Amino acid sequence: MKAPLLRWLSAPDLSRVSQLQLLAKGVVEGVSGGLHRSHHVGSSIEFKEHRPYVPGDETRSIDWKLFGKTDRLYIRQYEDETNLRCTIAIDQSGSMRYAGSRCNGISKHEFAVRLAACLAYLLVNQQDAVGLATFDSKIQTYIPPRSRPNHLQTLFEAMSRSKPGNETDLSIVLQSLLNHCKRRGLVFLISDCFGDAAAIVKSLALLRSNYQEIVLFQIWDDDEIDFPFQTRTMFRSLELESHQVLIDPTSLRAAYLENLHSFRRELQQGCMQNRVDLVSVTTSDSYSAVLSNYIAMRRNRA
Amino acid sequence: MTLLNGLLAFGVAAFTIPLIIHLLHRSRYQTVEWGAMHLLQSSRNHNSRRMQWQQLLLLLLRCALPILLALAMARPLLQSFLSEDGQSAMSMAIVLDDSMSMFATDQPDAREAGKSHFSVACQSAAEILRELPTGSNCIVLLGGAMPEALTGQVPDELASRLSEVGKRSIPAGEFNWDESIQTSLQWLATSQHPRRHMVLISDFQKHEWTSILGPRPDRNDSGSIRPEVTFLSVSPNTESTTLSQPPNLSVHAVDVTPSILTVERPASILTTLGNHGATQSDGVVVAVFADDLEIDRQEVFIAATSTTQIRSRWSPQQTGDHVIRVQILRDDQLIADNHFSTIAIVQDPIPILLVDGDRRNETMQSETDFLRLAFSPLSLLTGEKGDVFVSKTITPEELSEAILKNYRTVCLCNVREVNDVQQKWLRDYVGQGNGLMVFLGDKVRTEQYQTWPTLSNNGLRIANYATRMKVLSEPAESSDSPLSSGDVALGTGGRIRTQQIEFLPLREMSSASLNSLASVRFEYRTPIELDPAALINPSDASVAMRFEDDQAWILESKIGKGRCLWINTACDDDDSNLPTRSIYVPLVQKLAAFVCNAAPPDVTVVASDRWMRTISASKWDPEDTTKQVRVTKPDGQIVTVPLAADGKMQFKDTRLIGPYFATLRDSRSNLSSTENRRNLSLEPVVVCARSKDWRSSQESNLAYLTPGEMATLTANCKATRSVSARELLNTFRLSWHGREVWTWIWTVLVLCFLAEMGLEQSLSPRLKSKSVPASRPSVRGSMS
Repeated sequence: MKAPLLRWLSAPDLSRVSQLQLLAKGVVEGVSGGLHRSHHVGSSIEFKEHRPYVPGDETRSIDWKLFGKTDRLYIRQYEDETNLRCTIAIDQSGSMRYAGSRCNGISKHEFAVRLAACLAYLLVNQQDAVGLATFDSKIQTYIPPRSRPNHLQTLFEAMSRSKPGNETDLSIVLQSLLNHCKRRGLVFLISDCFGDAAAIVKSLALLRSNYQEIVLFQIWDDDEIDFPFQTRTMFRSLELESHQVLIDPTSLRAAYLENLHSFRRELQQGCMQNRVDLVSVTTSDSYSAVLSNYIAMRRNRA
Repeated sequence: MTLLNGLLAFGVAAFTIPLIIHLLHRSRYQTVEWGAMHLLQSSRNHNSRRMQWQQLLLLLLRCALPILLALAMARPLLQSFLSEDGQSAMSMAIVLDDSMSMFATDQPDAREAGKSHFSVACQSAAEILRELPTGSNCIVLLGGAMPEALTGQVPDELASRLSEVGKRSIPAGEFNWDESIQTSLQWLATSQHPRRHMVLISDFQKHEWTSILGPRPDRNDSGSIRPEVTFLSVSPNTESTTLSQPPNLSVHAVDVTPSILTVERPASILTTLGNHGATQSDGVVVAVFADDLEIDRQEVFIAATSTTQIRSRWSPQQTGDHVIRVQILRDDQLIADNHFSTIAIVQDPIPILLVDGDRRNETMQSETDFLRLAFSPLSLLTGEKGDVFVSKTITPEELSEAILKNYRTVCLCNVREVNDVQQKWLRDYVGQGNGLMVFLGDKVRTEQYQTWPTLSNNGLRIANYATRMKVLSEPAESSDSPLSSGDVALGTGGRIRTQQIEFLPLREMSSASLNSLASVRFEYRTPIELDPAALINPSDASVAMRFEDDQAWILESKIGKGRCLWINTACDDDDSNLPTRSIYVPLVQKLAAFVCNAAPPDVTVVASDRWMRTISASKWDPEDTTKQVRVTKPDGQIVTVPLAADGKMQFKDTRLIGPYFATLRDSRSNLSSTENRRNLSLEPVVVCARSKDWRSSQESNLAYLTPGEMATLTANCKATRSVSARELLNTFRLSWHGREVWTWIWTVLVLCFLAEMGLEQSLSPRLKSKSVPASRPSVRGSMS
């Protein structure tokens, strides 16, 4: 059996991803040193501030030069540099199972897993801690962030076990994700976000208020974008089997596209208001290219 | 709504094609496992109702296309908006010309198939009747001679009857269009339906309609709905106003002379033949038949547009009724006029009783010798048969009631006097329908005659008698006087007034031809003067003939069913030179035939005239109340006619041309016996189609109105014109149901087609995708 990593990521993809470096935009709260700024003071060379000495402080932290000048004891504090705590949340609801005719047989869920694998590989390589959460109507699997290299294998195995199928309610899932992400970090949310856009935005705002930086990869299939169906079609829900409608797609296409546009606009506006990066991708895109493009754009903006 | 091409209307069923396609399309669909159901569901809720309407509209348009196409090709007629519906009932009167000219045929093949104008007319009328809306009432008038109405409960029943009538080969008399139209208009005036039509189907012979080619007032009565009138011509549509080609030959008339026929008396059959064509006809073979036995055959030449006559001789061998038929043995356009029939009635010699008042033994000295010779010239002079009369001479004393029964006429010739009993016998004898002729000579005692009971007193006397006198003399008129050189010139009282003779039997003797009454001279006479007091009615007696001095010569009186003639001169040559003149024989024979009603009844009547006969009492029992007369018409139909109590029969239905035979039907008679059947048969009669100038045979002149004249006639009569039943029906349908609306349907069809295309394009996904382009997601997305 091929190793999970090799099963999902091809050699060119790994080569391309390994050259990337993802940096957190804000301060993060890692457990070890790394590339990212921490709100904790540490032992780096970057001076941060002085504070009065209190009993219990290490005496070696006292700034003796300043004591000589002011005759008061001050503690010299330096900024701490820590690693990033990332949590990759993969939607494994039924709607992610859809695979259109123009995606080379890759469903949205598979695309999400591959994208998540790339992210995990990228982050682990830069010594960041990466965790994984798979969810549908609730969080099915949660792996706390670790930065050890062998943690990547754990993540991939968890990803391989992820099977889409149930209903989803992203707003509830995001709220429950708060219980797992109590420290500052970065959350990669990979989902199609099918549901109530307002509720999703509200949950994103709640997660964002908990010092979590959020990057939302919204996965689309090309068929969901342009609705190319011509003949009468029975649409069966991937999440609820009893839910099916028989329609003439040609007559509903305009209304569908209008609804799609409204949904995306509402979600986009909500993300913008809450400073959530919304990245819409389709399954026909190359996930490594998507990732590199996003990181490049993110770096340019930083 | 009526469809002109009804079969194409079945194409309406093609609307099922798009319907089936739609249903099949609905039953076929693909299944897609779909994730974005929330987007789809909201779209469906938003647009489903509108889209369902659009789809339904599209389906309706697609179904309407084949329906409209089929309807347009079926050529529907839109009914009038004013009428209750397109098939509302109506009243239809069809006047059908069944005169002789309608039995003409145009082409030889049509002649062989028996397809005459009349059969075509019947088919056309039947076709019209079958197309009438349900509930319509109709009448068909056969317009020849006396219009005959064919009525039926439903038009189809009438149409079936017309199909039978169309097979008829016996024509009726001349087309009586005036009475036919009046009858149909009266029938239409009583109709309850507001829609009324009259159709006149005829060949429109020129002579029939020339009289109304000029302006003609509208004859419709005010207050009644004017029916729509249509003329349907079945004659060849030609501009030629000349005579028909090829020529039409006809037998105009057949006359049998003399009028009184007896066995072995030679008769002459005079046939008038006509050629109505523009070319002469050579070698026309004409055959004459007596009782279907050919008695003569001649080959004649008939010049163009002229007539010729042939004469045939015939000696009847037995008494009774004989049908004389003349047949032209050549087929032409009109076969019905190639033969002509008449009836010759051959009877036994009429017995006449001569009562001689001056009987002598010497030859030609008795009073009745001249009379006896005049009544039976053939038998007395040549010993041959054929005399019309047979006479017997008796003395006045031998006159008895018993002997009178054997004779139809009694001549009292210079009888001195008649006793009262004999007077009574004679009175009864005449009253029963026999004749009496009284010649007053020198032996007559006028005083005794003056004492006879008058007619008003149930006697015979009608005049006052004076003493016999000599006529005053007059100077001789010329040296070539018919009198012998020894005769003494007589006065004006010695001549018969021969101008304007009103006495019917002798009317033809007034001509100035030789041997007429003008050469007769009288020397003595017994003056008689009509006594009005002796009469019951002034019309019972009259002066039949007068002398030139206005004195009466012959008095006529009607007594019961018989007649009586009083001649105030002797019947021998004592008083005049009349017996020595050749006029004497026909004179006394005509007088005797007249007085005893010996002339046969008129064997020819104009079609539609009544055939009236009085049946002799000897042929029926007056006590039998079941007596009837069975009349066999020319077409073989037998009609029973009741016989009146006085023995009179009236038969009105004489519109068909041909011989009518009547037979007395008596419950007492054994009709299986040939003898009885013969005894009970009445005199047959031939009914001929003829006008006042019937010898011109206009019906045989197959000249029809030209299209221009037809247009004039149509305009004058405010009618419409058709040349075929199909055209007429199409015109009727337009009139009954409105106008053709196929152009409107084509317009709607095109509009529906364009609407379908537009709707289809509006629902097309390709155009939709252009109008609402899908926005592809971008990696750029929204980044805070």
